Amino acid sequence: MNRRKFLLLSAVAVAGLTLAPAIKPAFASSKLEEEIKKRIGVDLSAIKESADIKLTAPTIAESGANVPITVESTIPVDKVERLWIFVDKNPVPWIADVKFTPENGKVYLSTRIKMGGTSNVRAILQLKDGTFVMATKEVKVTAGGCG
Amino acid sequence: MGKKAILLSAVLTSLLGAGFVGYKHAKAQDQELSPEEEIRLVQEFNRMLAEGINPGEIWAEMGKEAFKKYNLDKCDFGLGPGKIEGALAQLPRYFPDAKKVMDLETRIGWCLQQYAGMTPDQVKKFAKECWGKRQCMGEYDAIVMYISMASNGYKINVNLKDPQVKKMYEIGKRIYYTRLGPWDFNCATCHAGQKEARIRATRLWSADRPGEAGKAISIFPKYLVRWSQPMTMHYRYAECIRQMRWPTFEPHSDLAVALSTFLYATGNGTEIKVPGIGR
Amino acid sequence: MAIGTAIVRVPKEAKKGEIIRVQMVITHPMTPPRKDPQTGQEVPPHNLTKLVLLYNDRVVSEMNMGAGVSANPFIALPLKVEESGVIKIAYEDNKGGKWEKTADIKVV
Repeated sequence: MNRRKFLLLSAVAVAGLTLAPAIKPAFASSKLEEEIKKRIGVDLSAIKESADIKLTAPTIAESGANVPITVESTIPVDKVERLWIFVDKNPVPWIADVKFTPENGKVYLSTRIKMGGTSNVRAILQLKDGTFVMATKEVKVTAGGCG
Repeated sequence: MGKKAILLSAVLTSLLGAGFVGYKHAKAQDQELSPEEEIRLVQEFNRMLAEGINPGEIWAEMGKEAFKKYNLDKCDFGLGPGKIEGALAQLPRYFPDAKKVMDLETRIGWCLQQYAGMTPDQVKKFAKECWGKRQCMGEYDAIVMYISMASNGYKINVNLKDPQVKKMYEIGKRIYYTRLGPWDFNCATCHAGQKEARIRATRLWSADRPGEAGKAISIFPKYLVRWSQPMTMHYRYAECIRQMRWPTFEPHSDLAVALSTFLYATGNGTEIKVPGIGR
Repeated sequence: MAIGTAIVRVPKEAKKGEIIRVQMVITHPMTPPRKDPQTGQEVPPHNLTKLVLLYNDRVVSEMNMGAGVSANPFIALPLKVEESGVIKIAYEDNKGGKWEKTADIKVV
């Protein structure tokens, strides 16, 4: 291999590596999609965002160990089958799911979840009629100070 | 060279340019918030975290058992033997039987020697049981939590009119503001001054800004989510002191009492609300 | 005192038909699967797997969870109370741990 060819090839390699971070996001979400397909049996693309379900989570979390989330919905509880919580970028995106019955009175869940890094949190409500609604919130996980 | 070289350098430049743009785009995602907004959002996070039930309360339940087990119902925290309601609020104070000013943890340590037959070394080991661990369910931490929670709602009221207490306060204040150790650090390095400072996303409280010291200490023991267990004041001192590269801190030492006297007296008037919660 | 200890907090009293919040916190390490840094061996996860909310022995709600839930988790679920009774949570983990905790409520 002559010198020019070598230089060209290494330049392409370097440029490719620098470009890689910009391309990565496209691959990261597929683990979430697989998990949703496995657990709920539906494609993420078939689930619509809706104002009927509200997800409250902090915009910044000083620690990813304990992120408070609250889910509420105005949809009557007897129309609801199950609530699913996912974190897009966690090693296992599924966090928990809750089965509701009319005796719950309403759809509500408050809990604390682990997040490996900045990511979307998703609350997906599975309705008895086979449809789904979803709320998404991005939580930036930062490093706290020492101490 | 000629055409081939021009083509080569054009391809090179455009590839590198594209890579650079991609990198900048990825970085820009993190740079949207101003420092003030970040601090406000982190405070919002801490407020949300404090809702619900604090896991630290389970240690208090355990502490109730341990309190009896170690005969601490005989221990006088300043309001009479076994009386814990409001006890933390009036500590540190001078104890004539020990002839010293003591803070809560030092007093617990002293009473463990008097009424539970522990040696000073055993007390130290007992106090350090959960240091460096996670999810540690230690009896000492439980006892401190149980006694501290009994002062919830009481306002800190350290008696600076007592000359012994005043003396410890002055010593504590001096240590707080004197640069020591191989790095010339002191508490004031992080926790003093009028200008707001922070370490990464954590805003630092300052003893010089009114009310902040009180707010910081009135929630100890504090449940730490990064270690899934509570942290007492003496463990807090030990960690700060380790990070400042000062000589190793011993729980229940005079240094601890001096710091506690300075901090709690500075926090006089603050309502006690234990346990706190944070990273 | 150990893993599996819980605090269940509900209002002492509620009106008939009121929807109350059942708050709970359970001590549990909720350790995710990881590699031991010294031996390189896989350490299996240790986490709560299921929590059932019952009211007067009727199943109201079931929650499945994994190690993605925080250690010593706080959980709150809604409950519509029509009569006085006993609220119970029954929960288990993936190492055979099984526990229960109750709280009473009076409905006026």
